[in-house]
Amino acid sequence: MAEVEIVSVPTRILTDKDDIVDIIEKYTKGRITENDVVSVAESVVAITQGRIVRPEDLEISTLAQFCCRFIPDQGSLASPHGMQALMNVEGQWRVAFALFVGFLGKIIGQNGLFYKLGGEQTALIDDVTGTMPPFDKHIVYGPKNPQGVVKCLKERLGCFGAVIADVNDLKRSRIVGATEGINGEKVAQLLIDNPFGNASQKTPIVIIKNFKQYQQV
Amino acid sequence: MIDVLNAILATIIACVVVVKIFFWREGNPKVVVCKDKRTPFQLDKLTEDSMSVSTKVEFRNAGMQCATIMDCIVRALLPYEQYDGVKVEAKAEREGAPREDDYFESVLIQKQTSIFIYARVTLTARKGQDIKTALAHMVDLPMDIIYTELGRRPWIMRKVRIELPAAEMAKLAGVELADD
Repeated sequence: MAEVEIVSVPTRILTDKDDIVDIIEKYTKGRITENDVVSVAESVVAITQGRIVRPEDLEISTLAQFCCRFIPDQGSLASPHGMQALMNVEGQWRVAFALFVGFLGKIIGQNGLFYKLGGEQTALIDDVTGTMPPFDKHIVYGPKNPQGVVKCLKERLGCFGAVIADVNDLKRSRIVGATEGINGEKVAQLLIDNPFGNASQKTPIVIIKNFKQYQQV
Repeated sequence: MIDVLNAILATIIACVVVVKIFFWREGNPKVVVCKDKRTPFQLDKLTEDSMSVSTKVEFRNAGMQCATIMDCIVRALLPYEQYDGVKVEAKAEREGAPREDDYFESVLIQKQTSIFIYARVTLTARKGQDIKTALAHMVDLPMDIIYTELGRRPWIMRKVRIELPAAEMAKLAGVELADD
């Protein structure tokens, strides 16, 4: 049986002028078979969708300044800008309520309520420094309609499947969107060592060769 | 009824006090630019018509929360009304992360730690002079280190003034300062 193999695909810096499906097709031409899964970094999908905002362009509310204080200082929502960016898309009272319930949940030992109740962007937003230049000075949202993007990728490329992944160097690997029939947990495990590389390596596309056979085992 | 209102009021006051204590204990980021502890300017490159020098400045986060430096530039302030013998270009460069494009990549400063930023200055002689002749008549050169800081409060732009004295430049170039 052919072994599963991780192939990182370097690209130029992608911007909101690019179409992510066209770009992936261009850079992976002739390298993908019907056994492979194409994975793409979630922040890059979001950037190509124009889902970025500069801190200078945000009007920071008192509520955002208050709420961000309850997030540990390493988190993307720990700054008033990250928190305001979230409130702008999910609603400020929803976020504040989720934070309050999350706090109560922690008291009784139930973690993660804030991320469950605060809306899907709660876990997806990257604050300043979270993305490579020139987007290091931006807040980057999670991608819009990830299921639609991966479906479109699969149809265009004729691959076994496509995923959008949120992976970092701290061994966090999460699938944000996957085509039907793909075992997201298995893909996440294969991507745990972050083959997308660090910021300067410019490899937002990763091909998982022979994933079809790997998944069937 | 009054007892109920008192209880509600007491609860609100207790919450405010607890939150204030929590914020006070957590603290804030506090970026301090140690301009008085900057290294002496050192000569990086000397050619017939230009001289490049640099100094290293400590950015210390003396606070209790992580801080972000989103951008940093060095603005040299030499109007030609004051002296038009040299053109000055300056940039900020993070120690350990040199770049040729003058881009400053945003960076975190963890609590109670420091990063170091080089202020790099290039002086190019004008009007057909060589750099040594130009620097013999140079004036003291003020420079602003301008940086954008983020943390637990909305972003803020700050400025810190450092100076490159004419005498220091002349010494680095190996010339004597003229008594203009």
